[in-house]
Amino acid sequence: MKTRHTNSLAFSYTEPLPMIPLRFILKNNESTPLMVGILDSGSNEIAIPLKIAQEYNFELNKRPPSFTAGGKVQSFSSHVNINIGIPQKEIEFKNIEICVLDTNIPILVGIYPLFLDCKVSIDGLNKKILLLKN
Amino acid sequence: MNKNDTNNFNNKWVLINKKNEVIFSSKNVKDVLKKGKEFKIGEVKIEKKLDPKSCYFY
Repeated sequence: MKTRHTNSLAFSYTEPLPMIPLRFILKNNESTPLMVGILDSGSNEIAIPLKIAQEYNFELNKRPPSFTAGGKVQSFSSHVNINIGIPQKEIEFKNIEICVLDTNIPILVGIYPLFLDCKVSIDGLNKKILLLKN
Repeated sequence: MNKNDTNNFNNKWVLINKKNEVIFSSKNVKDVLKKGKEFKIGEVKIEKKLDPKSCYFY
């Protein structure tokens, strides 16, 4: 599939929380299905559940346990390539360290890398998200 | 899809088509990822539906 990389993206969302589409680009250059992550400026990085990492054989390095609202959870690091957006128009992030948690969390898109590399505007009134990359 | 399942996707992983309709759901994300592989990239998206009263931290 041809991908057009871009520096600006706009999304509408329907859920109460701001959500953006993303996909992981695998080592063989194949892609996961499109997934939806919650924009979460309260998280310091992207976090995904362990089952997704296992399904795509992400390399995992053990971290100390995380203490979540749900209790103590085993956590791991992984380095991945992530495209944010829909396949015809995406912002690409390569070799990004993410957090993998052994719990059934939704995908969370935290500060690193999106909020560090992009201007992120969330218009809650109109349920729109604007991303501008430097 | 089972009719009884159509109204309550809270805390389930769902596969959504371009019309924003849920076409498959499961509590196990691996089931939804497997189903998602049957479609071309971009035709469907995978999302976890949240319980509206829940609060997420990690």
